[in-house]
Amino acid sequence: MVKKPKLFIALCTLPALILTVVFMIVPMLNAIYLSFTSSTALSVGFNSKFVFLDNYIYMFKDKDFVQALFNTFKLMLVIPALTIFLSLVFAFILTQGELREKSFYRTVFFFPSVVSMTVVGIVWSFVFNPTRGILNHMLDLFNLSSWKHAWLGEGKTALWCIGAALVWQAIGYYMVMHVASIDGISQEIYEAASIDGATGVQKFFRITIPLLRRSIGTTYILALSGTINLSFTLSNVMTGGGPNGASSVLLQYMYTQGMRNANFGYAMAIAMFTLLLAIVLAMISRKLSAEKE
Amino acid sequence: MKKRFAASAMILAMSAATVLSPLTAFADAEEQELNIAIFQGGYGDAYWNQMVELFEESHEGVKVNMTISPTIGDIIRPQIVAGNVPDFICLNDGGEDGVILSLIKEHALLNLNDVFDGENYAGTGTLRDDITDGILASSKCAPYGDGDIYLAPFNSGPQGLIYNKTFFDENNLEVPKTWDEFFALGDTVKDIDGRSLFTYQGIYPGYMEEMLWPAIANECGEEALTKIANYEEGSFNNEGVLKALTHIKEIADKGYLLEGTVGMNHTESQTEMMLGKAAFITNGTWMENEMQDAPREDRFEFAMAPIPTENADDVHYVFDSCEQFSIPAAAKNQELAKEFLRFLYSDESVSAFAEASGALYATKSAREVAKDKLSTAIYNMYGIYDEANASSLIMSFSAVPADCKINPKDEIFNPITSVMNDEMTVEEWAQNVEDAFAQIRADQEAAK
Repeated sequence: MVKKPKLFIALCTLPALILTVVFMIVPMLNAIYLSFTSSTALSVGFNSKFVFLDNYIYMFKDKDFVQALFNTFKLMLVIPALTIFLSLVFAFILTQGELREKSFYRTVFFFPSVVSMTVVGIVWSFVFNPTRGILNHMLDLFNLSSWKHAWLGEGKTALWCIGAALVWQAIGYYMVMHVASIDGISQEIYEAASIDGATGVQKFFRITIPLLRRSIGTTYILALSGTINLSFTLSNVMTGGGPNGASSVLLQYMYTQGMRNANFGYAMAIAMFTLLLAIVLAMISRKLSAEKE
Repeated sequence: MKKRFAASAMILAMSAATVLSPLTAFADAEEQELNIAIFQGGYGDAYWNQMVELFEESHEGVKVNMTISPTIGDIIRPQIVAGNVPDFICLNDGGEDGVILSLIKEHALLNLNDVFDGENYAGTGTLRDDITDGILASSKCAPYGDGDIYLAPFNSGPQGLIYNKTFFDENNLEVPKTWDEFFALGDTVKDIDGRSLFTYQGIYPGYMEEMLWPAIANECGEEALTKIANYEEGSFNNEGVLKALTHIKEIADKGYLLEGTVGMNHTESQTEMMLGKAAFITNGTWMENEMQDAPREDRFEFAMAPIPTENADDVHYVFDSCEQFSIPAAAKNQELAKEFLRFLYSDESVSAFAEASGALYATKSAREVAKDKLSTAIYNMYGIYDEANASSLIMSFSAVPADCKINPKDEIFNPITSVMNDEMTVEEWAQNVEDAFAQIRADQEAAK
C-alpha cells in the first residue's frame, strides 16, 4: 500500500485556503462587523461609531428599503419559476423533439449566459427604448400602438422589463443543465409511453418533471440566488432603480446607500439581511423538494 | 534555455529594483511631487494636460502625477481608504460615486479660507475678490453653513431651456417669458411640425433642478431656497412651492411632454430634442461639447432661455452650475496643492480652459479674459445673463450628518417621473419631501 502524501496534499490546498480566507471569510466577517456601525464609505470601520442594531431597526422604517424588499420578493416569486419552467420546456424539446438544428439552438440559447450582464442590460435597454426600441416598433407594426409604453420609465412596467431580461439571460444556462439530466432518463421509458399513446405534453408533465424533481430543486435554488444577485446589475444598468424606486432591488439599494449616500454601515446591514433572506429561502425550498421524495 | 534566461533576467531586475529603490528615493527628495485626481467629464482632458505641463514649467522641481478618468471617484476611494490620499481633487459633491459627499460628511476636507483670503496668482489683490459673487458663501463651497470654505469653485455656467435658435427665428417665435406663454407656445409648435414643447433627461430626473429651483425662487423668493437647503419645516410643502411643482406637472398633464421622455436617458432625450422632436430641453452650456457628434436638424443653433415665470416682469432666475475642487485634510503636500489651486485661477489657465472646453471659470473676469476663445453658441448661451431681469441662482443643500441615510436630491427629484406619469400628485410629492426633511432634522438632532 502506498502511503498518502498527506503533507503534500495539505500544501497543495493551502493557496486556495489562503485565498478563500483573505478574499471571502475576512471581508464577510468585516461586513458583519460594519453592519453594526455607522461607518461611511471612507472611514470603513476605523473612526465610526458602534450603533449595534440601529441600522437593522432603521431598515424597516425606511420606505425605500421596504419598496426594494417588495420588488425583490415580486421578482423572486415569478422569475425563478418562470425561468426553470421555460428552460425545462426548451430542454425537453431539444432532447425529445425531432429538430435537426438541435446543436445550433443549444448554442444560441446558451449564448446570453456567456455575455456580460452589463451588456445584457444595455441590449435590453435598447429593446425597451420608447422611441427607437424594437418592442414599440413591433407593436406599431401589429397595429397595437395603444399598448406602447415608455417601458423603463413607468412604475408599472420597469420592474418586469428587468424580469424579462433576467429570464432571457438565464434560460440557456438552466436549459443545458436540464438537458444533461434528461439525457440521464432511460429512453425506454419515453418509448414505452409513446407505445401507450402518450402525447409530448403528457410525457413532459408525467415523466420528465417527476423524474427530474431533484435536479429541478437544485436549479430552482440557483435561479433564486441568481435573481437576487443579477437583478442588481440589470436594475443598475437599465433603470438605476427608477422610476422613483419602482425597479430598485435589495442589492441596488445597498449600492445606493453604500456608494452614493456614503452609508457603508447601513449598506452592510442591508447586505447581511439579503444574505439571511437568501439562506432562509434556499433552506425552505430545499426542505420542500426533499419532502416530496 | 531562453525561458531560463528570461526568468533569471527578471529576478535580477526585481532584486535590482529592491536594492536601488532607496537610492532613487533619496535622489527624488529634492523634487516635490503633487498627486492630483481629476474627473474627466464632458470637457475632455486637453486642458488638464496643458495645466500640468505649465505648472511643472513654472515651478521648478515640481512633478505633477495626474490621474484623470470619468470614474475617478471609484479609483481614488480605495486609495483614500488605504491612506494614500491625493493632494488635489477635481470632482463634484453631487457625483454618483459619493466620494466628495463622504469627505464632506466626515469633515475630511482642508479648510481653504487662507487661499481665498490670500493673494491671487498675479498678485493684484485677494483671490476672494476675483471669484463670482455669491458662490463662495453658498453651500457649494461652504458646506457647513458657517462661511468656512472647504470646496473651491471650478467652472460655472448658466443652465436653462436649450432651444434651436434657427427654428425659432424661421417661424418668428418668441422665447416665452411666462408659464402661460410657455404652454401657449406648446400648441404653436405642435401646429408647425408636430414637435412637442418639452423633454428632459427622463431616467435622470436630477436635471430638472435647472427648472425646479428657478420656478420655486420665482414663486416664493430666493430666500425660500435657503430654507429648503437647510431642511426647515414647512419649507417644501407650502403654497408657493406647490404652485411651482404644479407647473412642472402641467407639462405632462396638458400633453406638452415628448412621448417616451420618462424612459429615455440623457443622450437619448438630448438627441430627440436636437432632431426637432421637442422645442426645449433643460441643460447647461456643456451640451454643445457633449453632443458634438450627435445628429441634429438642419442648421441647428444652440441658444438658451430662462425658465418661465408667473408674470412677464418677474426676475428670471438662472440656475448656475458650479463644479468643485477640493484638497483632502490628509493630503501630504497641502501647500503645493494650494499653490496649484491659486495657479488654476490665473488668466492663463482661465483662458486655456475656455479654449479647450468652451466653458468659463467662476471668476468675475472669466468672460472678458476668454472672450475670443469661446464658440458663438457658447457665447450666446452665456449671454442669458444679459437679458433684462435675469439673475443667477445657486442652490446647494447643506451637508447632512454622517450617519443620515437620506439623500435630499434623490428625495426631491426622483418622484418627478412618477409625477409626470400621473402616478403621484404634487401634494404627495411635497409631503414626501417634508417627511424626508423631518428625518434629516431628527438625524441632525441626534448628531449633536
